[in-house]
Amino acid sequence: MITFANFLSFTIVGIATAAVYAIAASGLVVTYSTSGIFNFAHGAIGMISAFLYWQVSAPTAVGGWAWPTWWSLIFVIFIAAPLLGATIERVIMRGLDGASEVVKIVVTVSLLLALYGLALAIWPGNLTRSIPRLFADKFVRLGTVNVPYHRIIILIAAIIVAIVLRLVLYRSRSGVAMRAVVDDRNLVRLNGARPGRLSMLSWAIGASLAALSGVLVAALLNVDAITLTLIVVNCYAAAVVGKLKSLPMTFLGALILGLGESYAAWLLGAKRIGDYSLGGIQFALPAIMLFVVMVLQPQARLRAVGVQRVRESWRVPSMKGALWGAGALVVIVYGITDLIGADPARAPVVSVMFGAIICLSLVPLTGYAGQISLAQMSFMGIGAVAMSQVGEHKTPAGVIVALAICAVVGALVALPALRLTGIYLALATAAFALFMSKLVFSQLRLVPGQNVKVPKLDLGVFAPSDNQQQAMLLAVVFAGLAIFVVWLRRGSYGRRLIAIKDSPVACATLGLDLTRTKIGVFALSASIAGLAGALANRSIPATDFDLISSMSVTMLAVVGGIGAVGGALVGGVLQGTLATFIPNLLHDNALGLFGFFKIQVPSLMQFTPGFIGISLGRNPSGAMGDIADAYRAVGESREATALSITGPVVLWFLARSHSISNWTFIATIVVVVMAVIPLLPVLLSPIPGGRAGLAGAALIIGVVITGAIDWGTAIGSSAVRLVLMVLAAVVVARVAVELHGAVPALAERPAPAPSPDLFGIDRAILRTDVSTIDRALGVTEEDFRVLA
Amino acid sequence: MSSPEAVLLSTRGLTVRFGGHLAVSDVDLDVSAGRVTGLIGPNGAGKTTTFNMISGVLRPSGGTVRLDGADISRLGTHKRARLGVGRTFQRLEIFSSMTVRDNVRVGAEIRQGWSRVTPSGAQLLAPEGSVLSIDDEVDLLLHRLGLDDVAGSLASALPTGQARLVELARALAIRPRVLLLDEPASGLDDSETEAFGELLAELAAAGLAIFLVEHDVALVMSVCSHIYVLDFGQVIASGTPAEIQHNQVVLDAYLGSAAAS
Repeated sequence: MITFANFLSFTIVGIATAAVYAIAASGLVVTYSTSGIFNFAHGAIGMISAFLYWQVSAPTAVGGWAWPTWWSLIFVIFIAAPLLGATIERVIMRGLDGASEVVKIVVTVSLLLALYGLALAIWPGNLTRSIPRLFADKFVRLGTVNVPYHRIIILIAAIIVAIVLRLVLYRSRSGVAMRAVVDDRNLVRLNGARPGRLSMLSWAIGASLAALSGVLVAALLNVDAITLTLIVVNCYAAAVVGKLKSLPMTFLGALILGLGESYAAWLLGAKRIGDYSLGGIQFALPAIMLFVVMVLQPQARLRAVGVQRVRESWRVPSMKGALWGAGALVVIVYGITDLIGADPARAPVVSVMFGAIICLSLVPLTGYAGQISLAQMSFMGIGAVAMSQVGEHKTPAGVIVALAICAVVGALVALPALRLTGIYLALATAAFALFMSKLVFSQLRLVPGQNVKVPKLDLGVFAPSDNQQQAMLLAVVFAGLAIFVVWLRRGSYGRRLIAIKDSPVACATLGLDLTRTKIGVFALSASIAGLAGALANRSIPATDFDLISSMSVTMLAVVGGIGAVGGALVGGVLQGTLATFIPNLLHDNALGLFGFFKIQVPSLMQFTPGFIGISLGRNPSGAMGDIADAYRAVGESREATALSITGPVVLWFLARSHSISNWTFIATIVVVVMAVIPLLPVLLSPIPGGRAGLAGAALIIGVVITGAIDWGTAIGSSAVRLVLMVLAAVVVARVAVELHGAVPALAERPAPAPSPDLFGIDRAILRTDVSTIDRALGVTEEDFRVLA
Repeated sequence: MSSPEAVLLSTRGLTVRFGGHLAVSDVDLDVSAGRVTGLIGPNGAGKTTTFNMISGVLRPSGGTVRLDGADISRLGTHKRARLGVGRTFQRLEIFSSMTVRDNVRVGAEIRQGWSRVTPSGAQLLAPEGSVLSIDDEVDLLLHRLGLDDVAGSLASALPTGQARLVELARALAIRPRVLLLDEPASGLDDSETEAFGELLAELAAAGLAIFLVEHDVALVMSVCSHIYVLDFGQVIASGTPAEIQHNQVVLDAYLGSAAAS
């Protein structure tokens, strides 16, 4: 009913929502504009704070600590949250100096996932937690509408935040310095300020504002981990109005968004278009607003910033290596699925290969071109839905339709963002993922019963009928795509993508249409993800298509090693093991410390991936970089390669013929892969002082002893088994290395030697450089203090 | 087809404001084919900013840029490049994770891509009428710029002087008609600078319009046939090298010590 009273009450609701967004968004803007790192975990910090507030303030009857309200508020907003923010800056973000945009984004996305997982582990979702509103029963009467005190308080809080931020940023010394840090961090340092301390301050302020908004939202709704975490999307939809920099414009954006959501819920929420419900429209509004604002913005101007020395390094892959690797993968997948006799037990292999294809979709886009997508699972979902709609009877056509739709949708999503700077693609894809799960994947017409039933691919001559065949299909598809991606990388198109990552401005001055090239690679990436969905051959729950899943996939792909196709496989393995295999296998196990605390493994797995992602800041090349380094020498020696192949093959035949049990097979494979194979090149090459024979004997004895243990019956717990196997491998390797006595240190990562005369000219002087100079000159921080 | 001496690139009233700061104000420049034109001035005079506006990296607040009579002021960077505006950068913009050879090759490959739609010129350093494959062209450019020895090394490992030559080779790979060189000789030693001057003269003789920003006054005076002097964003003098060397305004603003010595 459209009446004035309705209008008034929805306006009031909208303004209160807007006020919360304004508070949260201004925190986001403060952090981004002073530290240069866009904090995707902003909402997650607010979420954790809201849980903490609930924990300290809730009555003891529900497990809280029953602190007084005011003390709880002060504790959470002014003590705990700023401390958390400052710690995050100090421990995680400061290490990102000089890291690529992709790594910066992935680290804050990982933080989001870690905090989200942590909250789920500490405060399980089976309990509804509510925060009492302040002055819950009081209200002001405005005409025919009651305005609760709570909403008025939110509005007042937003106004106070606006005034305080204005004063802090423009009137205080630290504030002016904080704004200067954005413009030129090094210049600020030269002028005697300390960017590190200022960044910490800005993160503390940002976290405090996140906490305030988190508690306020939680009081309006409930303390719900996912809703509060994803409020970051609403925040940046508001903040893009001010180009992520201007606070007044951010407040305006928040007002538009808050009112828009309220009116949309009022006027459109119950409407339907044909078979499709508009029930989720208000949640999809941030994405719509973001796209409108981006389309309206003029194309970002290119900047000649000088070459950035990026810490990741990747070799150009060889076609020979790709072909061998692809072949080996298909054989290995066959070998593994064949050993696992029971078909349901092969499911993890299928999910590994499925994850690997999705991770592979990010290799050309993120690994080569340096663009990031946080919506790969949405594209996977589009592929799955397309296949389920079209593919029922003529399934190969469904795959083609899925590819085409994903390419077109991908191009449309990326177009507005790619005209702008790198961060906007991350923002736009995340908003798109949210839009899709709220408005598209929630449609009963497309996703009946919150599940997409993807029919199997029927090629006539081949149709996967069990998990083994499905795993083989996905392995062959992955291998084919991997060869294709390597071929791309080695060709002119691949060089172009790398060039775009290295220097967009130089590409433009060579006549390259950046937007078109980037859209092309985005469409390619979206269709690879869509292909995975179309080939899924199972019932996929709609939650798999949501933003959190997409973020998790992108994070694991980067952790695996985004610059190489092998990294995608590692990403798939991580995904399969962390998300499915370990929680299923070890669901009864728990990790404890002498009864001080005890945590179930499945809970542990909820936040472990996030923490792994955070560690990327220290090793931006991901796992594949290390793995490639460890095994590179093996590939270069013919004998080592031959032995590396023979060993596992022999073990496989032993296991297949039931001469050894499957557990023994796994144990010996672990030792062979982790201890024997990496040492082979050393043993086979004459090194002065090295006792290769002795070390080799030790390795063989190690494998035999490992194989002699009756893993299956001697140890009752799978977790203990796995830990002991890895331990055995480490011990065997260690003993062999000691006996050999002259194992050269593993080759250092081939870091391009910095040429000294470029120092400070072609790149900004980093913190490490400054400390090197300081040490060389014998200057300490203390001296500066004395001078000042 | 324009005659070698004709003005190929010109700006009229080129102006840009950064906030309240007038960085480049009402600048008129003419760059002719077949000649090296110099643009000099103290640090912060607006030389690189002017280059950015000509190549489309920066949008001017006012004024026009014309290439061979056509207004290109509203075109994007890549479109200007396709019409023949090549450039190098003061702060290096090499593709640092690629080899030197691949840096140049990417330039040639990108040109090969768009030249199907917008025809490019001929490779000036190749014998006239020769048809080069991408590989041959890359080899030729590497050889002519003395980069054969480092062709296989990572571009990021090069010293500044050589890295600037890589940028030049890459810019030449798109076969430009106008080449904007932003301090190309900084980082080169004396003998390298001399060879570099000869290369510029050869390129100009082949018909290229070269616009040179350079602090090495000796080089500028020896290769340029016309020089503009920029100070505080304005053209304060222009003329032949001889005229510039004796221009009192220029001496006061910039050349002072160099001319006196």
